[in-house]
Amino acid sequence: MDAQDKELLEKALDYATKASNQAEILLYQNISTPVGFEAEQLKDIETRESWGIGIRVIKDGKIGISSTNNPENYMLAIERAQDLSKFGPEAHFSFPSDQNFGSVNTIDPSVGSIPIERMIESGKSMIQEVKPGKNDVLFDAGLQKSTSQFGLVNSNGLSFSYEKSSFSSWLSGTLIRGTDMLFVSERKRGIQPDWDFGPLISGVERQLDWGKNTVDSPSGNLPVLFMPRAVISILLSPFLSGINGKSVLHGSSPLADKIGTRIFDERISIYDDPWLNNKLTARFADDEGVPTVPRHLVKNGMLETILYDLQTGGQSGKESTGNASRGLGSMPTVTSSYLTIAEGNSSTENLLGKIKDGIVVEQLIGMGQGNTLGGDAGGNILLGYRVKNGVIKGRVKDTMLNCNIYDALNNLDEVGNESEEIGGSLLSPPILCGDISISPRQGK
Amino acid sequence: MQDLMVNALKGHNADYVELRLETLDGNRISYRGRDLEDISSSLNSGGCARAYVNGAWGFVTFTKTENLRSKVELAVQQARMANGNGGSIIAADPVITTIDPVIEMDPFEVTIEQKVDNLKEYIEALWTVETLQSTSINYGDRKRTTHFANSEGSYIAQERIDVTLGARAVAKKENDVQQYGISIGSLGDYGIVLNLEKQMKEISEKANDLLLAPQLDGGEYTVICDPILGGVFAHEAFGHLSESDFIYENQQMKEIMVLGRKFGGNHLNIVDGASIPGLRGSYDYDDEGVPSQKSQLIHEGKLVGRLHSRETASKMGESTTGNARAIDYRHPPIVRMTNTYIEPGEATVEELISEVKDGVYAKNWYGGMTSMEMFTFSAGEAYRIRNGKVEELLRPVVLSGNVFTTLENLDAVANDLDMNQGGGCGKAGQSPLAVSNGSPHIRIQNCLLGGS
Repeated sequence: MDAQDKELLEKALDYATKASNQAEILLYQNISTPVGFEAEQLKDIETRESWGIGIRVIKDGKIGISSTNNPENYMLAIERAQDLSKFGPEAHFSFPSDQNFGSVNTIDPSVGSIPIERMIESGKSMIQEVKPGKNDVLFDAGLQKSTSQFGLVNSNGLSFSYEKSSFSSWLSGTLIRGTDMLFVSERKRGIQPDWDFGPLISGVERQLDWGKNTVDSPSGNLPVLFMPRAVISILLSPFLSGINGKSVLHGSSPLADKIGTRIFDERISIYDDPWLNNKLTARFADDEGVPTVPRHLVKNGMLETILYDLQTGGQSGKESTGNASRGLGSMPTVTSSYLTIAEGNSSTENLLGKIKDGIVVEQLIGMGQGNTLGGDAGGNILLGYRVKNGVIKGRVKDTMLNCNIYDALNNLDEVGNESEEIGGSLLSPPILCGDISISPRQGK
Repeated sequence: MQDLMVNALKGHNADYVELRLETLDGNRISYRGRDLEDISSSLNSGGCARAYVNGAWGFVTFTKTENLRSKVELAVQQARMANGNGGSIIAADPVITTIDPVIEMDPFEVTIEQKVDNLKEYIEALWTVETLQSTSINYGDRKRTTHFANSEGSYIAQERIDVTLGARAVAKKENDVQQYGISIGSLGDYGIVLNLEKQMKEISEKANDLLLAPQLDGGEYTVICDPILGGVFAHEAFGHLSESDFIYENQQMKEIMVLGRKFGGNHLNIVDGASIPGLRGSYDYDDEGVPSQKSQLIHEGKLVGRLHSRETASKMGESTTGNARAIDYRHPPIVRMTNTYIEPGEATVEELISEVKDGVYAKNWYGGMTSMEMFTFSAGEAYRIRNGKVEELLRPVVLSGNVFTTLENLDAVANDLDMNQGGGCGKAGQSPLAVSNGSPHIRIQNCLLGGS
């Protein structure tokens, strides 16, 4: 962080502390350069600079929040936060004092100086590599480099900052035949420059290959192989809402009193590691300045923890678990960092081989409906395939998948051993579950 | 401001350059149950420069608005580096104007006390039903002031104020959870947030009633959609297909969306237009300085138009429509909808229902997604129709299907158009963009419904 920003943090904290009991100032600065290819042509180069401060005060026991991205307006923003605190929620915590943080690597200094020309050339070669033999598929692609600064000071003496870098690449393909549309995509994100696009290309090619024919879907309660990205978007998202301290506090989580009890099959272990070097999620402190801790969320099917930030922890009589994330202008929310789901023993081929007639699912649309906190998950299969006697037959469409994730992960058949990283924050193997409700459109 | 911007844009080696400077002022208040969850205010400003050279764009966004000329230079340099392989954009007539905001009741003139008091009353109204598990109320207002200038010589100052309110109740009985909610919004009118006690009570009563409602067996039904659900269908299922940035570079998409193609019966007419005044998606000039208009998308069942930016219109040899919008200065304008609706027909809603032997009346909306040809929406409430009469309440149903088939199966349109102002649209990382959508009651044959 530069001297000017450091000075501003100090000035703002001084000003905020004058008329509040406690105050916290967060500063976030970022510069990103994306390069985008549309319809296989270089389409745009962008430079995105952002800067802003978030202000949180506790005045007469109540919280007020505001933000601005104009350094000249910092006093006005602080006054707004103080005014708002009159109506704000009662604070159930104090800001943490200075801590001994561990060391976690969050930056590769070479990212900032990557030449745009290299990004352009790499994007071109990615498209050249994937294109041959796929004249009917139109590709989009992109690369982005980004560096940011995060700084936090509070009136209890805490002061720290760290730098972060990120590098991402993506590739997507569109195949349209008549009014039949197939969209496939892969994305990679990390802290370090990563010029190996092999996984993106092979992922896109696999989806195009598996989805090239459309076949009738089977119907009934069937085995379903959840591919890694379906594991996070379908199976894990209700669980992650359930271990959020806020859901527990409000009595809407089915996991409220389940710590130390079996919630999933014993082959399911989920580890959350904010210290994993060189991952985008790496951080030694959360966004409130509480030290982060690697921990099992689920170990051999047993629920190990509920996640809290300072406020929800205080309201629940618990300590913060160091899982707060926040935007500049809003209350923190509880998030996990880098999730690793324990692998089983089966190759993907073996998992497919166990399916007589069933479905492989990558993506649904229409999620978030029904009793999601209770574990209901379902929707229309956006990208999924029929498997017969262990062989992928083609894509299924107009087919609804419905399950309860607690039932599904208790009646699981087998966990795979070919993990994939999704979105830079999850490493998951494919998971084969039995008895998932599949209902295709009737009488096509 | 005008001189600074105009000077920064002079003499660049580019086909087109533009600058947009903005201030954004907003407030948010959320309650979960009776607990205040968030009360916050944000005050932001920033800008962006965009340059077009030979078919490629450079785009620079910044929060520190000094030295504007260097931002434009960087955008030009990036556009040149992208080394496009030809292309042009459609020019617009230069205009110098300041547009006054549409204000009925200014939320920025209402005190926080007043806003908090209004919401607290609604929370009490929601909690008059005792089986509730939780409630949520989210209020937001936002003022966006935009100063736009380009190399054509235009300078356009615009301001808009958006107000939104969402309320939801979740009822619980043993392991069973049901929810019901509303979302409303306005362009510049805090008045929509007033006098909602009765609606709040109904939200909770409906959530509670749903606990006792039976679940529909999944399958194909004749479905009557209310104006909210019909509007969502017009926007989500059809509207996104008319955004030309999905079409202009893709030969197969061009074939699907060829003008003149029959999408539905003669009763099917769909419109989008920001020039329709006073709605969430209304404005005078889009974010690349093109005047707004009203565009007919489907006329008597045939595709007759689509939505354009300067660039997509040029590539497709059509006229601009004023649909290039950015959510704020951090993003370049892209092709978006504005106010999208199915035009009313002749029949009454009673006539539509009376012709249904065995079907479902689906109302309201609480979620859904589309992927061009495929869509899935959740209706907020549903009723069984038997022998032309609306009968018992059902558990919420999920409608899903293929948009082309569904438009063909849309066989009747009533005369009672109503616009829903509570929506926000997301695309390419820009969300929620203020839009409205609407429809009269519509009837769809053979619509796939799943129980929730």
